[in-house]
Amino acid sequence: MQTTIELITEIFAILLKRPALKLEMSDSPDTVAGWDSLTHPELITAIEEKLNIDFDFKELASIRTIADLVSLIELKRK
Amino acid sequence: MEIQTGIQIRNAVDSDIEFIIETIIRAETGNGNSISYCKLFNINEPEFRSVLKKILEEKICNFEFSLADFKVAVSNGTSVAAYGAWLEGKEGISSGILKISALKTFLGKENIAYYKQYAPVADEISIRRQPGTIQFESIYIVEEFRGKNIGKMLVQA
Repeated sequence: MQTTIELITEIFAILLKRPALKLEMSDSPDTVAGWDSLTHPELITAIEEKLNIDFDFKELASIRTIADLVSLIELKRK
Repeated sequence: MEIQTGIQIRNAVDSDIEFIIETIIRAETGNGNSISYCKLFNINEPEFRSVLKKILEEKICNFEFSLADFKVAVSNGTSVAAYGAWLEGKEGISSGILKISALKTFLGKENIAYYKQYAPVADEISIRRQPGTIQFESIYIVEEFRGKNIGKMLVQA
């Protein structure tokens, strides 16, 4: 079964057109090329649609790193 | 903070939201009538005002649409000027990502999809904000109060 970080990596790799992308928990927009304010809504929307979840603004504002995103997703999927 | 006879400077509070919306829109349009957000997201001005209200009510700090990052000048109980400024990246997240997250939350998916076509243009004209720097963004002074140094008072307060 795909882990949450693997799922996020798959989505980021497709949308950022970086097939070899390997995300780490500590990664953030500062360390992942292409993850910025222009691509962010598309990345988040793709995750929401794939997992059938919705993030509110406070949740989105809490995402600094991939680890934050993983935690948030796992909390939503419980 | 009483700076000059009749003018008081204070932090924005909930009851200032409508005036802050006016500030953001007036600062955005300048002397023209065009609101770039309306064009970028295919919405009209009332829709943009409604979205701004929802964003400001969330009280998330350190970006362009943060109520807590606005100061208001008041004369005889009436708001006459306001400006917004924040410390870029203070909480470890860029103001650009906070702003687009806010817009994504309160706009429809079709508006975000519409924006995608303009994203490269938006990127070209967007301000490159350095973490740790103070960002001055929206400032608006009601016409009859201009020329009284209120803008300077706001920034210095």
